[in-house]
This record gives sequence, C-alpha cells and structure tokens, in this order.
Amino acid sequence: MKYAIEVNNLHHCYGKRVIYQDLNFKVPRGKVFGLLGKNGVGKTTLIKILMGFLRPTGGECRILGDNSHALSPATRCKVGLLFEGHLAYEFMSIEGVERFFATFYPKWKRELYYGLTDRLGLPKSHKIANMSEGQRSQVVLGLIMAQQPEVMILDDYTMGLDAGYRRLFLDYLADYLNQGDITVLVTSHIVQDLEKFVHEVIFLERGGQASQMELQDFLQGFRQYLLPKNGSKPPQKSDLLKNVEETSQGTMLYSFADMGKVSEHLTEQGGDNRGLCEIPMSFEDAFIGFTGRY
Amino acid sequence: MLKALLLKEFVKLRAFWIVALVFNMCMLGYVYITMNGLFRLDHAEVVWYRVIHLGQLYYSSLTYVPAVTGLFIAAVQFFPEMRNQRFRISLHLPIAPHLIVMGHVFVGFLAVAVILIIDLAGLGLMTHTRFPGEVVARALTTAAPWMLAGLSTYLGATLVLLEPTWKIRMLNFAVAAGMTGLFLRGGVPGAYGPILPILCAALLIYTPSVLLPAYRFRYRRV
Repeated sequence: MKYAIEVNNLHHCYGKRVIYQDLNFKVPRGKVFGLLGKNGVGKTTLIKILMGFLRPTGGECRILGDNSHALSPATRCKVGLLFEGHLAYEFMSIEGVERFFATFYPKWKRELYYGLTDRLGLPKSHKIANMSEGQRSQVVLGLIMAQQPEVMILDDYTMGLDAGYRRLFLDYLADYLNQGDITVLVTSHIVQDLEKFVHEVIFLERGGQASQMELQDFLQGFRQYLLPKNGSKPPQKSDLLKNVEETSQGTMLYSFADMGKVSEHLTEQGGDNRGLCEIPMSFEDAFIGFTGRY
Repeated sequence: MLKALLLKEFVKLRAFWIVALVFNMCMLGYVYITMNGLFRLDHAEVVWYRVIHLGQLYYSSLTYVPAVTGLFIAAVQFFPEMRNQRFRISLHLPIAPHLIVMGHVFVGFLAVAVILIIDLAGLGLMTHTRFPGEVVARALTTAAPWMLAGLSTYLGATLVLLEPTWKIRMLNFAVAAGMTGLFLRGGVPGAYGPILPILCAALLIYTPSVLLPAYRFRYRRV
C-alpha cells in the first residue's frame, strides 16, 4: 500500500455552505503532511471525516486502505489520533491511563509514555483533570507514541500550549518520527512550528479548493512583492497573483511567478509597476500571503 | 480489553456511585423513621389495618428515588463523554463499537441495579421487623416497578445523552419518558405483580436501543 491516507472526490457541506468541492489528495507512507488553512475552512471537519466521525456528503476517504467509515479495529490500532483540545480521560491518573491504553495496543511501549510524562515532574497518581493544558498535551502525545502507530493524525496540537510545551511536544515528536516509517497528518495554527518537520502541505481554502505541494517548493517558489503606493489602478487577484493585500506601506502581492512576470502582469492589468520589489518572508508570512489575512 | 474498559468506567463512576448510594440509604432511613413513627402514633393493630386493608404506603417517598438514581448515574457517566465529544476517544479504541458502548452501559446499568437491589433488600428487611411476610412480599412487589423505573431512566437518559442531534434527542426523550412512565403508573399496592416478568422482558429488549444513538454518534447519519 503506497498511500497511508487517500481522499477521493470528497464533497461536504453544512447546509448550503460548501466546505469541500471535489477534494482530492494522497498522503504517501512515511511522509509528514501539514493540513493548513484559516479558521473555518474545514480542517477539523476533514479529520472527523477521515476518522469516520462525520459522514461526508460525497466521495470517500481511505486510511491504510480501509474506508474511513468502516475502519476495522486492526486499522484503528495503527492510527494514533490526537483530538483537538488534547481530549483525555480526565478522571484517570497518569499511571491509570497508561495501564488502560496498554491493554488495547499490542506494540505498546510504556517507556515512550513515561519518557515524556516523567518530565512533568508529577507523581504517577496525579489526575489528568488537575493538569494544565500543556501537561495534558504531553500525556496525550505520550499515549499516542506508546501506541506506536503507523499513522498519526494530530488535530491542532498547539491549542492552549505555551512556547515551552509546544517545543517539548515537537522535539519529542521529531525524535519519534526519526524512528521509522511513520505517516503524520497535522493541523496547527502555529504554522512556523511545522516548517521544521513537515514534508508537504495541503492548503484548504474557503469554497472547498485545496492545493497540495512540497513544503520546500512552497517556501522557495512562493514570493511576496511590495508595490509602493503610486496612485495607479490597484492590482487585482488573478491566476498569476494568488493574493493582493493593501498595507500601510503599499500593496503586497503574492505569487509563484518571478518578479519579471509579475511586473509584466501588472502592466497588462493597466497598473504601474514602478518600485516593485521582492520582500523575503517567513513560512508564516507565506501562509498568510497564500490564504489571505481575513 | 473489555476488562480494562469496564475498569475505566468503574473508576469514573465509583465516587458518584457512593454519593448515589448514600442518597438512597438516607431515603431508606427516612422510610424506616416514617414506618416506626406510625407505630409510635397508633396501636400496632391500627397500623396493620391501615397498611394491609387500606393500602397505606409508608414507603411512598421511595417512588421516584430509583428514577433519580438512574438519571444521576447516566448523567455522571455520559455528560463527560459528550462534553467536547470525548466519547470519540473510546470509540477510536481498536475493538468493535458495540462492545465499547455495551461495556459502558453494562457498568452503568450494574451500578444502578446494585443500589436498587440494596434499596429493595432494605425495604424488605425493615418491613419484616414490623409486618408479616405477606406485607413484605407486597411491599417488594409494589416497589419493584419503581426499581425497574430506575433502570429504565438510566437507559432513557443514556439514549438521550448519546444522541448527537437535538431533534432526535427530543424524540428519544419522549420514548424514554414513555418507557419510564410505564413503571410509575401507580394503582393499588402490588398491582404490578402479575406483569413484572413482562416489564422485565420489555426492559431487556429496550437495553440495546442505546446502540442506535451511539452508532449515530460514531458514524453519523445512520
């Protein structure tokens, strides 16, 4: 099986609001995929569909070859799922929750769990209900890693985490991913975190469009240009100009095209390209440039 | 695996179970005081006459206690599961969903049943201290449907709480209220005696209905 996750012709809507329109993508085994998009584009909805907790209006999703609405227990055993908000059994203790999950997963490695939770410096009898969000995130990640899944689906792992816990989470995750052929689909609002370990990104956009590309291709190919205010006709979005944003400095243009082509395109749109210059940008800038600010 | 699931539910419920047990014991204590009060205020033969011939129920304060108990256990068991849809954690476990759901229901059902059996036993024992065997049997026959109402309320509340959509939740509420109402229709003491086996069978048939909202929650649009 070449692909760990397959999304084929997915269509979903909430009432009249279309979330996905013919969404297609495939996640090869052993790759780390970032699922990115603004709030409300359907990232969590997609994860719910992938795990069979929501039935799409049309199309199908496959996880390790199983239809996501008929995931066998054997397949579920191979999928580590982190729910948004680090959902956990809050009435259980650090020790109790480990003992509970260990019975369900034959490849369980308790040292992976305790390697992470021991860092919290809490007694093993400490209840999850009495933990901070950051501490709970480590417990949940520890449980997922101890399960030794082939596929990890991490829905907004950054929610409620401060910089320290986010870093701890990522460091542990990176170490774990180095161990083998593990596929990860991750969503996050802190996109710069993903830059360190994501191979490919899928941008979900309002209206159901999606773009899939290698992260390096995106970082190297996607560019930001500043067009100073010059009183001419403002540039318009087009096939070449992915996004146009007005700022106090001027108009920011985002495109996969080089400066020559953008300059030519501005002329074709009847505008003035004087002062056009390329501005370097971070992954977060590029993400905002790609998806738009609002 | 199932043992771990049952143990998890036990851990979740044990503190609340003790609270429910204490509440039921307090109510039994109240019934005991009421019963002894009758004998302090009147001669024994008058009390016997009122209880045996006039059908006075000195334990009527127990009528809704099992229903409240069933509702309480279902609420403390499934409210946390439905908050942020935490039940997804259990439903992602690598065992069949019906085993997961019925495992949860088994523990909750058992928790309610044990308390209600203690209630019945307590009622029987206290009645036995003051009345003949026939009155004990009638007290148990009269209280038995109330106990079944407790189990029915537990199942009905589960049916309502697990359902993911409001419309069907209201429908389930109507079904649950109707089902529980069957056990609480009153009548003369012991009137339910002949149909108790049928009511027990109805309750057993009712039990797997909780799978429907659970499957609707798991897969949606079932």
